[in-house]
Amino acid sequence: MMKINFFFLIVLSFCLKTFAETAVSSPFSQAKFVPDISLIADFSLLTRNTSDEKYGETVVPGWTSLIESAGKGFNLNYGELAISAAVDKYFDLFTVFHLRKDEFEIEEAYVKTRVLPLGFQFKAGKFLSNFGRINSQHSHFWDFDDPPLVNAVFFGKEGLNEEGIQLNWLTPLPFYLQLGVEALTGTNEFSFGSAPVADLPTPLYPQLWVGYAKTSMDAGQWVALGGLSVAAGKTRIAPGSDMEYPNALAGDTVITGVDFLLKYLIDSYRFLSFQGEFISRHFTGNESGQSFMTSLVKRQSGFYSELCWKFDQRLRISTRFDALLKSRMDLEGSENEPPSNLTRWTLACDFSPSEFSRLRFQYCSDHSRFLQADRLPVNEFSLGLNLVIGAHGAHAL
Amino acid sequence: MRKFQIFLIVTALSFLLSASMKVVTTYPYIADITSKIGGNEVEVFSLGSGNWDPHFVVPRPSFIVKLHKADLLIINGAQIEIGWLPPLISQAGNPNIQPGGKGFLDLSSAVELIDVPTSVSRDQGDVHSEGNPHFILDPHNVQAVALAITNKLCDLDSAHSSFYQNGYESFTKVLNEKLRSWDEKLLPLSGTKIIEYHRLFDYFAKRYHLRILGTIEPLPGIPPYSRYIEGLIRLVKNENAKMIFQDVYHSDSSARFISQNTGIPVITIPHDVLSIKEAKDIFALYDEVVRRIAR
Repeated sequence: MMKINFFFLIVLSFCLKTFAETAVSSPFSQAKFVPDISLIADFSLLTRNTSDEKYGETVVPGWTSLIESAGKGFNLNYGELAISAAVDKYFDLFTVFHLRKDEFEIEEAYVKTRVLPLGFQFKAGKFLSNFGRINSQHSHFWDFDDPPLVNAVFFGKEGLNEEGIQLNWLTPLPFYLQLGVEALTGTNEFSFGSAPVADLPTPLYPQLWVGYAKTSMDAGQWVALGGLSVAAGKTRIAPGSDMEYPNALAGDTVITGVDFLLKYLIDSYRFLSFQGEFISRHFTGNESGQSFMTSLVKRQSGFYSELCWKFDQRLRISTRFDALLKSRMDLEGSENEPPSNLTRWTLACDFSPSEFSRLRFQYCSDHSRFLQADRLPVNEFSLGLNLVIGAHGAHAL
Repeated sequence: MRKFQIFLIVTALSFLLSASMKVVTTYPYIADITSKIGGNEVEVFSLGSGNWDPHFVVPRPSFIVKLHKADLLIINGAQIEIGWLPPLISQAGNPNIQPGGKGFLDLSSAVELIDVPTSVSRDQGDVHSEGNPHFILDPHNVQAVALAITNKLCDLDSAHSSFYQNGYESFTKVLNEKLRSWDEKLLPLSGTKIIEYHRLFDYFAKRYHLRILGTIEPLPGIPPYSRYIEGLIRLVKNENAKMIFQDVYHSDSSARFISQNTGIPVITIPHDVLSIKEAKDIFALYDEVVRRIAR
């Protein structure tokens, strides 16, 4: 036994020696080709005026019950590992891995062309759709911990994030006008989905089409951005996936959105910005259960608007108002109006000790949740910490 | 519809007719030197404005349009643009102006950078891993910058290369005369001890042998706190510093506080063309720097 160990040590030392020798000259070292790697970690301490169990049973009536939320107490909300680099002269590759305590998910992995002429750019893979304004941004860039209510009920907390392709065109006009189309699989379980429903044919992929136009003007210290977006696709939602809808849904959904951002730059570090999106959804199709199938039409819309004042290099204060406006359902010709006045109000105060760390205090007063037939007003306080290490790319406006 | 077609045709024609080279620069000083060398053969646009912090230019979508149409992008480099320029280049979809492309010029490669860190960690603040990027504050670096720009213009537009060469020669002629007068006025200050807000004037200080005792910001990008400022006041008194160099875009309240407690003057120094109204061009910039310091 001793002999074997001794022999093993000799082999090991020989290996190490060889390794050390190669490290000196290293003619084939690829160490300098390390891609940009960054890791974001987000923690929070949360408290709200209702128990986690009760909160978990609430629904946004007429909309959904699927919106997940952090529980009370300490939370490791997510880790986000991003790796990107130029593949070659022709392509850039971006990957973002969303990590949770027991989950490793590829949030985005897409290739983007570098060299197409005439202002065209082509993207393929899994990516956040360019629908609207906030959908394509990663959550750590938002002014609040949660997505706007309207985005959450139409696309879920993780947004419209699909596999597919995107063609983007920067028009040759003297001002900024960008047009784009996306062909996506359409698996988003909040509005589209690919579950087999009754005897209906499974849709042919890609079944979700997105089109958008974005423009911007600026004058002096003012910058304005505006956009129009449309997402149209087949809806196939399996029975029982959403408490609000125990039955299966099948049909067609069209979602349209208008977004804007108005920003006044006070100086290098300070600004005032006003941003909002109005999104509406139109579903036509059928609701079906074990033994029935009825025609269903849903017309729903909502908006958010937020005001952000960065009044110091390290401090900002933001407030957001969310509302789900109209939810009308025609079930076999009989109209049904679920409770209206579903609103939420959020306030966030950020302190960023440096460009790479951020402490956020957030207060949220939520009037969109119902427990059975009664509204359950929810007040929530959270203290969050968001950290970035490594080579993290800068953000667009 | 008809009108729109005419509009499109006119726009397309105007692109073909404007034969001058479209140059986009990240800062006004680069734009000024480029237009002095390129004259009417270049159409220059600066993304950054002179009076704001060069590290924090707001990436407006209209910049994407400028970059998309540019024949040449000239940057300061040494990572000063890292926080705002990369997404604009990526969205512009113009392969020529991407790093390494034929229409891309990084001026930091034309000069010798100082304070290149041997190791980097963000516990040292927002450090630039390639060295201090504020090389343009040494007026003796202007010649190398102008030469790099001239060579690039000649490469891209060889038909006008003698025009650019002439532009370069008349530029350096004025520059050399100016340098003599600036050096004359500044050399007597050799050995003077100063403090500065950010590591912005280090190239300038190195050239004219000024001794920088410390910075008002404790680490790059981190605003000062009172206990740190108290230490700085003791340092100024013990070491007998003579001046506080303040830039135009940070708050000068800490500098004024130190001044009140030590009696040494705060001198606001322009760092770029158009950072103050007197700095109309690259020569007026240093004229004003010299006038403010060598009083």
